[in-house]
Amino acid sequence: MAPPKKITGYVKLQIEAAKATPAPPVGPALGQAQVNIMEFCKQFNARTAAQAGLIIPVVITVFSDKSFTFVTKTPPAAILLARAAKVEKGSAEPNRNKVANVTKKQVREIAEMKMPDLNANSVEAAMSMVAGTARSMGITVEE
Amino acid sequence: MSRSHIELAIGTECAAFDTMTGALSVEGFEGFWEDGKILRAYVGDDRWNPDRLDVLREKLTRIARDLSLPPPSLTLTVVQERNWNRSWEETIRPIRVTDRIVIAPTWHPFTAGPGDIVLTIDPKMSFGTGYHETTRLMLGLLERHLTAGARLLDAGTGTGVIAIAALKLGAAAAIGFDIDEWSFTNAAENGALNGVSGLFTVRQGNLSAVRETGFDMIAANIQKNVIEEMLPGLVSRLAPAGTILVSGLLTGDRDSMVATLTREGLTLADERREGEWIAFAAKLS
Repeated sequence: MAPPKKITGYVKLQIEAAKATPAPPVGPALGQAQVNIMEFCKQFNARTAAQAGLIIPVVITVFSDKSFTFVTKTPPAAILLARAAKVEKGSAEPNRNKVANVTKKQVREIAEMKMPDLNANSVEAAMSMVAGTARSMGITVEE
Repeated sequence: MSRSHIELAIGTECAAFDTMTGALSVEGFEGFWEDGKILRAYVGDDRWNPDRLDVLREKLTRIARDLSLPPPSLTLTVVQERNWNRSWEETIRPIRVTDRIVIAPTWHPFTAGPGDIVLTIDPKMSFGTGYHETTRLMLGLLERHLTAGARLLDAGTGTGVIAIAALKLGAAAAIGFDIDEWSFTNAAENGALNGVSGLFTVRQGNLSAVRETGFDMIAANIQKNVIEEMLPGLVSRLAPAGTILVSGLLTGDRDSMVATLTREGLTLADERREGEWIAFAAKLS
């Protein structure tokens, strides 16, 4: 059995699903790791084609022979909230100006989706984090 | 196409990254790099509005405060575009991709054996070096299904490797197109390196850059969602009984891609797999 390959580093990016190109951040981040950028783009775009339109966090593991593997994670809560609330952006003054509402059910759906990536022990704790993000965007959570 | 990007480097704690990327993405930032304790956010310089910096600073400071963190530091830099893939490209060596076809860069010349077809490809931040399964699958299908004298359309031509291979295998003419400016330039350069410039037309743009129809073969090594969107337009440019080759697909995409090809009036003629990738040849019925 071949010895396991040595890991030389991790690269953490957030890029739009199905639209990775060699432009920044992919180019500068992976270029310095001497990874084949075009191959990463091909694989990332193929694997995320069904999530087009969402920003996807991805963690790339780089090995000593310049090969790589990667895992994708769930989109940031703020993006999922903006999509759920059907707004393009949050409020510039979230304490004073509220830009949209989301239901508690929507917050739960987002929390459940993000559970694998959140440091939360329960869905309720994850919901609390998502609700906090909503508040910072000027999005009201309806009871 | 943006030739340079604005990088906003935000010095903060990792705990703030998720909320900050969400806030910046709705402000138009398109990509993020979590570089230690620095969050690097990028937007094309043609879409950057310097008047927004104060608003962004306020917004990011508020996010930090909500998380009980100190105000973040912000540094703005213009990142000029360059060939980010150069250091990897310099490491490539000749690679045999089928029994007959070998791809070699000029910096590692290859001595051809009897029957070898050598494609000289110097990649410059473009896809198609022979080091990826999808290119090898496509070249295998091309070698099997191309007929002498055929006219070929290469969608998403990249380095131009598929079109150049087709011409060396006996195609009469090839048109390649790509939305990417690097690929547009690189495909033309590689056409010249292989002595096929007179037969290989390269255009920058999407399928609308191709008004010609009646292609005997169309090759598309792109990705599933793009191929699905482009397929009706590709089929409309195919000659009666013409063949379409599609690659850039994962094996899990097989059934839905076959259904899409069938819906467009194509009949599956060949399918090949390598690793997690699959490619098809389909003929117009």
